[in-house]
Parts: sequence; C-alpha cells; structure tokens
Amino acid sequence: MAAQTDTRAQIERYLLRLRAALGRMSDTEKAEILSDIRNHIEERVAAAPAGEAANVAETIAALGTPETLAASYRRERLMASATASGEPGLLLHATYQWALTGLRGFLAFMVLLTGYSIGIGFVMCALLKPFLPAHVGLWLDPPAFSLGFMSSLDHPGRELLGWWIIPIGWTVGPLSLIWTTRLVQWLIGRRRPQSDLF
Amino acid sequence: MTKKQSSPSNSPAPDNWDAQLRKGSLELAILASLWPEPLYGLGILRALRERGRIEVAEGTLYPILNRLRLDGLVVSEWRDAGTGHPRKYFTLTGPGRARTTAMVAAWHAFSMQMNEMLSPVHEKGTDHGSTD
Repeated sequence: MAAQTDTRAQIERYLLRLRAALGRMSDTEKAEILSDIRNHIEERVAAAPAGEAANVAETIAALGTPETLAASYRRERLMASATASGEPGLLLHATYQWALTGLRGFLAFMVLLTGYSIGIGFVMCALLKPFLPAHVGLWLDPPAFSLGFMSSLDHPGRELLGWWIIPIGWTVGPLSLIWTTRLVQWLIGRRRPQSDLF
Repeated sequence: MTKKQSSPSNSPAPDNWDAQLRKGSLELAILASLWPEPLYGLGILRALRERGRIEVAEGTLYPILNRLRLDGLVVSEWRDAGTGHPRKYFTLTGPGRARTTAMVAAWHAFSMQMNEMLSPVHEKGTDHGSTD
C-alpha cells in the first residue's frame, strides 16, 4: 500500500513538473500531453513484471527530466506552428531555436536572415526613394554592393538603379520575402526531429 | 568506462552514421508503423524496434507524436483494449496517409538512386569476395 502511494506520488510529481515546464500552451493541449505521458508510464509499469516502485523510477528516468521532455515538446510544437502559419516572427523564433541545436539549423537561420534582409531592404528603398532620391539606392563600390540609405553624398560608389529602384524594389522585395518564407518552411519540414537513439 | 575504438575497415558502418541515417527516417518510420493499424505509444516503440530495428528514446517519441497530431496527420483516442484499463491509440488521418504515401514514394526514389550510385561498390565487393 505504501509502495503504491509512493508510486502515485512519483508519477504526480513528474507530471506536475512537466506541466509547469510546458509553459505557454493551452490547457487542452497540456492535458493531452500529460495524459499521453501518464498513459505511457502506467502502461510501462503494468507491462513490467518486477517491483512496481523500481519500474516507475526507471520509466520516468527513460523519459528524461520533465524540463528536457517539455523542451522537446515546445521545440516540435514551435516547428509545427511556424511551418503551418508561415508567420515571419514564428519562423525567426523557430529557426533560432533550431540554430541552437546544430549546423543545419544555423544555416536555415542564416538563409532566413539574409532573405528577409534583402526583401526588407528593397521594399524600404522603394518606399524612401521618392523622398530621399540622392541618398537611397543600390550602390556599387567594387567589389561590394550596398543597398539602402547612404548618408554622405561623397560616397565613392556608383548608384546603379536610379528611379528603377522603385519598381524593382516593389518586385524583388516582396518576392524575396515570400520565397524566403517558403524555402525556410520547406527546410523546417525536412528537418530531422531532435532525437536520442541508442 | 572504455572508449569504443573506431576501426573503419572492420566496422559495419562508420561511427554514429547508421544511427544518423535511422534518425533522419524517424518521422516516416512512426507514420509507417501506424499504417496497418492504430497503435498506442508502447506499441509504436515496439513496432519501430521489431520491424525497423530503430531504438527510440521514449522522451523523443511523444513530442513527435504531439507534433504529428498538431499537424493533423494523426489523431489520438482512448480505447478499451481489453486490458482492464483504457489505452490511448494513435491513428493515421486521411492527410496522414497521404503524407506517408508521399514520403514513401520519395524514399523509394531516393533509395533507387542511391542503389544505382552504390552498385559499383557492391559489384566490386562481390568480385573481391569471389576471388578470395
């Protein structure tokens, strides 16, 4: 009886810590996750022939700490939301979290940053050109290109596009934003889940 | 604690490469395990181990299942399995079956291309074996 109470207490403590570590999720989703894990622990305990208390401890240990498990849930969930919505903020957050786990994630994050920078740069140029024609454009100062606002008129570079920056900016900017979003969504979709195989 | 020594000429696969390959196929393997019938968590782990020789850490499976559920590729429901207590079963949805079919097609295409790429190695290995 005492062992059974101890077993229950171990499971409840684990689930309580897991619930706290899951952070900002809806109560429905948290309840779903907790019921998955509770069912798993109970199935494991029921399937094992040896002493119950020891099995619960082993089963819980095999799941990892509640904080590690919750981090896996949050990461997988973030990737799902970012891919589904295509919202730039979520994609930035998701690829940043992915970048912390390895090179592929870092490359995806860099692709996103570069693509969005180019896209926003062209759109801003198209917006500002009518107001600051001499300061805004695409500048060539071999071997480098500079896109955007140039405060000094003594800049040695040559401005390449002139007024064409407006139609080009309104075309290239949005296209760059859209294609970067799609590319990163595709990259996240092909991401390997963070897993521990042994 | 002994450190495993790497011996490229004798080992069946380079260090960790085999595990990396299986890791990359994990989502497909989970979806495929649900293709014949709905399974509960331990059933999926067992199917992965017995049919795919894939050992997955238990803390890895459930977050992936949760993502697949959020993506609408699987649904979960409680069922009375005749064990005295209900079990939570995971079932492939229509989009889940479509996604699995597409992934399997991509897998076969990739596998055929790789086999073609690897055929000289295989033939050389056979020739080498026959001359010994």
